[in-house]
Amino acid sequence: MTPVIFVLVILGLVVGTVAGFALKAPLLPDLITEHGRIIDQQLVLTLYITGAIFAIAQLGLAYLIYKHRHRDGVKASYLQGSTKLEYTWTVATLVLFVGLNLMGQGVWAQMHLNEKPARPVNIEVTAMQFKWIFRYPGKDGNLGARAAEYINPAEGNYVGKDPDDANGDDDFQLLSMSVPYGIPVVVDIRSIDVLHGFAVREMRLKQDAVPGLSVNIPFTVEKDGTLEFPLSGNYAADLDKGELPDALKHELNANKLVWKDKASLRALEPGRVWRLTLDPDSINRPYLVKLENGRLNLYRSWYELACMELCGYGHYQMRSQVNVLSPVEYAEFVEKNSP
Amino acid sequence: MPLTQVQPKSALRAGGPPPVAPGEPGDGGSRGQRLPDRSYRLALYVVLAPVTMTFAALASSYIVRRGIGGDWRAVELPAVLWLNSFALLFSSVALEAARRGLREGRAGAFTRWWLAATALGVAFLGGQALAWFQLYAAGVGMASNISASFLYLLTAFHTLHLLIGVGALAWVALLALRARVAPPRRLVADLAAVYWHFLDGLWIFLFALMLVWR
Amino acid sequence: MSSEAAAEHAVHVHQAPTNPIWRYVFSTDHKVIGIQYWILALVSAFVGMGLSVWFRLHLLNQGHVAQLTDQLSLLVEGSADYNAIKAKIDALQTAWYHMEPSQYLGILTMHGTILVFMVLTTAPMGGFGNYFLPIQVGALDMAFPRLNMLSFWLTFLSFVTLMAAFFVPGGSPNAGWTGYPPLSAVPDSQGNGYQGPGGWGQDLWVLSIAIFCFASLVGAINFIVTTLDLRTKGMTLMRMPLTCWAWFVTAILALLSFAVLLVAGLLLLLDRNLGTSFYVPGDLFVSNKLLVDHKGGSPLLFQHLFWFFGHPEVYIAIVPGMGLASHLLSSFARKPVFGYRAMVYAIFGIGVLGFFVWGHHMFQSGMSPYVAVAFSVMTMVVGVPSAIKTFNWLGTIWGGNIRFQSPMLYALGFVSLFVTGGIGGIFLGQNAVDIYFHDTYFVVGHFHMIMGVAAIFGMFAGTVYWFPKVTGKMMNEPLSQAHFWCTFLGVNVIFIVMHLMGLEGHPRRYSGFAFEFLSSDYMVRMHTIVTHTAIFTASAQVLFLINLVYSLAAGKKAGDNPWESTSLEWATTSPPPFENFKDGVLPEVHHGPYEYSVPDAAKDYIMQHDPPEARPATAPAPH
Ligand code: HEM
Ligand SMILES: [Cu+2]
Repeated sequence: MTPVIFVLVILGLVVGTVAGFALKAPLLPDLITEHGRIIDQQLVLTLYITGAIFAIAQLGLAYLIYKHRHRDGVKASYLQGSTKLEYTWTVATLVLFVGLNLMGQGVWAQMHLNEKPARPVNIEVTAMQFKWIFRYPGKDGNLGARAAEYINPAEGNYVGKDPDDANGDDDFQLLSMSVPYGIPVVVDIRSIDVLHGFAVREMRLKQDAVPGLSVNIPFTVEKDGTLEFPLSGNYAADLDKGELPDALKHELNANKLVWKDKASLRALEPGRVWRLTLDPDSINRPYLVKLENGRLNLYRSWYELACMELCGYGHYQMRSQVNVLSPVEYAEFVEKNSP
Repeated sequence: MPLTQVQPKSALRAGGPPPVAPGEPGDGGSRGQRLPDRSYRLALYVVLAPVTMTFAALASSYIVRRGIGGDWRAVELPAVLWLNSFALLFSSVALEAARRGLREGRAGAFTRWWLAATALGVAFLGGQALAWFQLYAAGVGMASNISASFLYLLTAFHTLHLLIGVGALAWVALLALRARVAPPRRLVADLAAVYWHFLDGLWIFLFALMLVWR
Repeated sequence: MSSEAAAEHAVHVHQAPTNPIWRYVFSTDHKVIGIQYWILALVSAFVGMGLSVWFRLHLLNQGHVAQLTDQLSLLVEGSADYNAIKAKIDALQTAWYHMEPSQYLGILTMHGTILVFMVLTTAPMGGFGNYFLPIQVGALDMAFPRLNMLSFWLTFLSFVTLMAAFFVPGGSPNAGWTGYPPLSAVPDSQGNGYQGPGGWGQDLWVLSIAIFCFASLVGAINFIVTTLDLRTKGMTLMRMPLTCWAWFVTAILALLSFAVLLVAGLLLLLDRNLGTSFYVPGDLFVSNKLLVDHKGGSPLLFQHLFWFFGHPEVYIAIVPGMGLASHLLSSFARKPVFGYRAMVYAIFGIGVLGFFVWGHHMFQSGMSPYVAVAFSVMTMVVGVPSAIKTFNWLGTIWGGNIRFQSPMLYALGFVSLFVTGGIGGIFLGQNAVDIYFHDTYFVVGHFHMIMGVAAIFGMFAGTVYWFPKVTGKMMNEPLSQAHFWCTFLGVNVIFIVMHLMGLEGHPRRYSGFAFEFLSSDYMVRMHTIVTHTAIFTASAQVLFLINLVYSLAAGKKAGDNPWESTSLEWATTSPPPFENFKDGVLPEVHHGPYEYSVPDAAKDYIMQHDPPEARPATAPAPH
């Protein structure tokens, strides 16, 4: 009886686990960066390989448990090992594990070891309890110098921007991060108090923010948004006028997106792509409406940025967001915010 | 009266615990049985492993921290530490001389040299205290600079271990002084000596580290 | 053994002390000390588990709060619906198990610290190792019984110190079981005045760990000397049961790693209290002011020191379980261990390589990315001996004649859990993939699976297997089996689901869900499953307690060798006499540890101390 239960339980375990992974849809959050594709490939490859190992090992265990259960009159074999087998599986696992690992080094090099892209968009990310501050270089493309002695909470100068450095004159800082797609960005991640962790799921990016250290990570966002849901009607004509029809408002509302008074709508490419910005009071939540194959789809262009390194009681609410803009919008964004 | 005491060889290998040597207390051995000498030697070497790791961790922290530190301001090592180093070196030499006496059965030589080594050890402790006092008087505090923190920390850790060493030396010296009654056990002398040499070497390493990589 | 030989080996040993204080409390008898360690671990395990059930309840609650809050944002403030939902939220927020964020972190930190140190490090080594290492190698006691006693009482002191942290001003420490500075090093850094300069929790935490380190070092010395020097006649190294090998390697790991943790803790204590700057960088802007007394320290230095200890530590927790699993699989499959030598080499391989992979906890820490590559490759290499062990376990039961008694169930469960947990490691060990998984629930699932429950299954296995030896009574088999099934099912559900949450990017150490992706239906469903299963699994542990008490009081009487095993502890009475073996006569060993089903032998097992003739000349040579 026991061996049968054991076999059933292991079977359940294997089927349940495989189903848990296989039925999880989507397997991973949407992906928006270029390097992320390679990470995902590597992850999924590992998932297949280890999934197979998992199933074979567990089912093998179940099989052996059943096959060699105690039966009267049966004597166990006096088998003490097999050097040949042991060599084989040692070498095989070594090759498999190390090989798998080496396959992932390319993307690691791209993110950490290779030269940073020429003339990227530079953004300085400063973490502090319990918020994120993003400083942009303004139109000149150069960030002003910083030093702790200039930190001045009364003026909101948490990053310690040097007031005398002319490079910093057109710098501006915000509580959310906006990046253009299609253009390389380099974030300079730092902290002014304890450890924090910069992480955006959709970007497949994670880096601790360490006080006293500044870590530069390059990435390129290659998507303008993530499909949320298709819209039922065709409102293209209204949208071009900059108006949101009530039917659409209801539809948004039904999907937990609240249209508030100051929300804005404009055409990025008239007749084809519109930018919808909900909630301008708090952090912007940019969406896109796109006409595709004769129907309208709603895309989100913002992603949550989480702190991933324990930083104190407010760790769980240390939240910000990354907005993805078109290069043109980004230029406007810089223009608009530069002092 | 011979100072050395031969261990029954037969007892050393596995195959039942060795007989308890007559007149010897259990010595913390298993259930009152006397462990073979080599067990104590082994135990000492085993103890030296974590001590080594402790100092390895401290030294690598020192090196790493020295490597980053734009804030590192070198502290002038008190001159007395030089004297101390020599005291320690000589004490090791004296210990060896004492052990030679022990091997050759010259009780007087053993006692004299061993006492000398112990005295040098005590002198080192005094010198260390003086060094700390001088540093402190010069306004160098534990937290005044990271180099000072390390200086205090490394010396304090070493001194802590040395205190145990001096204790061990003093104990053997005491046994030696009573040698007419009961000969000091070769084993204890050996163990104390090994430990002492180790601390001596360790000090040279630490001193060199603090000197060269100020 | 001939009678003259017996007489020759008989030694005069001291009698057991008669005063109960010296006999049962401050005892130098390794058996008593082993039991003391085991009880300490048991108490700690229940405390730690209780804490986890508490915060699981809280987390589920927070999932509901998050979802309700989402609904709230769609409603008009003041409307009836709005007020109804608001009332629901308020009710949830005042539930008895609700926690404030800092309190949550405090409980989480204590949970981790208690389980890692007081359970996973004590029971397998201090508990089973102390009791059975001397008996299995054929010794009267550990080499240094008084040091052994010291080791236990220091551990106990460490435990008390840690518990005290619950009750001091400022509350328990809340920087996580890894205690990374500057959060742990700057008293003000918890923000909001919590754990202000007066908070002692973190200091007690460091102190407790420092004492623990010291205790472990003292203990490790004993294990090493005993293994190397006190083996009985005929017990060559390659005749030792794999449990002894495992304890031996574990002791070496402890010896080399705890010393480093001691240093890490000490420097942290200095940074906290004396204003030094080992870890704390300059110019920290904390609690709205610039800290001026620190300069240039390196938070990464702590991480390096901590994980230099930390990775070997995970093996300290699991290696004894590996040894025991090998021992039990062989014993209950009535078959020699498959590849005994390979098993020994694999344990050593794990031990040695385990010292060169600590950086895999720091891929995203800001450490040099070149170094990360090296650590990553090394990590995959250390996976190989683990895989070897798994293959050899399967090889051991292959062709066996498996008896499904409860120790075997736990051992088989151990193998299954080890496979599942180890597979998570293949993801995390790749620096590129770890970018996605670092600090998510995937890591939490991984290490609970392997270091948490696999190691604890090793302890359950050890408990049921050796209970008859220690108490002279059998544990109740149906109760053990029921406990096994409930626990095995429960932990698999809990921790596999955590892997799925990690796949969705759920960060660890969050006390609430302020994020949209955390209040999704999927996440809340997963949290619900985990919390409910955790409650179920925790309740199932009552079966184990009942079993212990019941068996102690009314268990069936056990013979000397109820499982028909071969190692030396089964050569003595149950429970063993004070001298371990009758009249203190040490048995002489003539056989390897796993001589089961030897062809042509009279019985299906040959005990290690059976006379040489017990093994027929026609049988194939032992390994
Ligand atoms: C197949 C071999 C294994 C590999 C390749 C592996 C790999 C890893 C990696 C890379 C991490 C860090 C993940 C991160 O923080 O992002 C990790 C975490 C961890 N592993 Fe493993 N592991 C293996 C086996 C084990 C074993 C046998 C144990 C314990 C018995 C263990 C216990 C842990 C623990 C406790 C942590 C988390 C520590 C923390 O952050 O709190 N692992 N593992
Ligand atoms: Cu590790």
